[in-house]
Amino acid sequence: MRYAYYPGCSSHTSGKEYDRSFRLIAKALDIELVEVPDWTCCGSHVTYVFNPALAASLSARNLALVEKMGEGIEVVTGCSGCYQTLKRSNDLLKHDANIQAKVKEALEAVNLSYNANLKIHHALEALTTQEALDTISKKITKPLKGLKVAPYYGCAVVRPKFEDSFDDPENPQSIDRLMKVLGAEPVPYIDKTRCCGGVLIMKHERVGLEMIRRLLANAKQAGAECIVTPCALCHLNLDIMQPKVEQAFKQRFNMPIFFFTQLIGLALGLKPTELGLDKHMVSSVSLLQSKGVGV
Amino acid sequence: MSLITRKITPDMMDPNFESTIRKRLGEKGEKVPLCFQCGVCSGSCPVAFAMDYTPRQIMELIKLGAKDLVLNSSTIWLCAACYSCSVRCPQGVDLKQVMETLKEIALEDPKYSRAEKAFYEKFIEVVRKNGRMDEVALYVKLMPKSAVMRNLGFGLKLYQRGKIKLSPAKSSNDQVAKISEKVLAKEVHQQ
Repeated sequence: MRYAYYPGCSSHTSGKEYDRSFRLIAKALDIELVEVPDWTCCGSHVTYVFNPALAASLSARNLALVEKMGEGIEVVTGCSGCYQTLKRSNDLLKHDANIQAKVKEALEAVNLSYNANLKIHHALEALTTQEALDTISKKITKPLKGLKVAPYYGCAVVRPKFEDSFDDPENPQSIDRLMKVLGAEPVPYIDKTRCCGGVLIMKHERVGLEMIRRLLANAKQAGAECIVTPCALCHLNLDIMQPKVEQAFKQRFNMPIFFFTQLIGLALGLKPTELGLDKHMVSSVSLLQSKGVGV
Repeated sequence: MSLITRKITPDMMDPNFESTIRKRLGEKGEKVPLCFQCGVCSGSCPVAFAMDYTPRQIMELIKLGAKDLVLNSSTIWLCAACYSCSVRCPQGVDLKQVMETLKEIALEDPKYSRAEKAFYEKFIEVVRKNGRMDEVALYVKLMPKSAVMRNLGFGLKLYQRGKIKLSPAKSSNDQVAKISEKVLAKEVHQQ
């Protein structure tokens, strides 16, 4: 399988280890990721508030570059925000004549054009097709036996519902299925699609902290020893902000947060440092040691 | 609702408010009048606990034409755009899209949202300048100096983990700036 890989801006900052672990396991699973040359910001839902035509144009620039990469190529991104934005723009460019006209003109200014025929996938989708799960299952050398995981999907990977969405917006199952294949135990998690607050943490810190606290508390209550996520912004909130949450609410969680790509990597026998586990705010060393994983 | 209606005076009203929103939403706007106040949106909203008006109340205020209350509410800015309400609404109202439209209207009118505007403007500024988003560049632009100083220790931990960079992420071309100029110039021209 060959994909045009759109890493998204967070792949250089808060989601660095997500990008790194995705590339590593893709290689191990014979999935070819060709980075979109010279990609730029997808626009994100923030630009959509400011100016929808601009947001759609920023997405379209990247999709136009993908189209040039060859017939039949499909896009994959690990960033849930980029996934949602690129899909939204793609849909608008198929159905909204007003946006189409504005975007066409904007792209002409940089000598590009886009036909809106691309398929856009999330990394979670690409790695949980039956075929991918079978390949993973065959290559597992270190099953994550006994690891109790809260499968946290967040919003953007399952909502809104697109014509070709790959999982259910209310009770998604792809991470749950993947965890079972890896040998881990997904716990029933009531907040699996409840929003972490996203960028609210920047604008309304106290509100954001409370939203994160609830997710951590319910995961703990469900018996989870860690949380797994397919979203860099969710990871930022749950991991990077966790010490702030603990301080603000005087509650200790000590809950390691993994990208799903890192857990696949561990099961494939890759080293924790290769997968960037040492980049997390909340250490997973003792948890993994107690399960005999990553050692 | 009685609490809300008592706060409304005629000068805060705009009888065309609902139709303005419907028009901006295009096809999706047709669903707005179908809201029957069931409250599934408010029950589903993960930020409702912090809002001054719940999403259900906002829908009713729109119907009433209570423009000022809606556009001055904390609700529209606290909406995290998670689409929980949109996927659950039994009447098919895309409430997340309604909230986005309300933000859009508020951002255009200097009467509203002065405190919130900065986030959106700075976000676009960073993207236009660098072609890519950089959370730290944005954070520093948004924060008062004192808050940046208070968070230095925290920033250092992130730096040590490679999560933030001192020089902002940049694309090697200026196409984003060119595209932005083209789209935004056109908008001004049309007005």
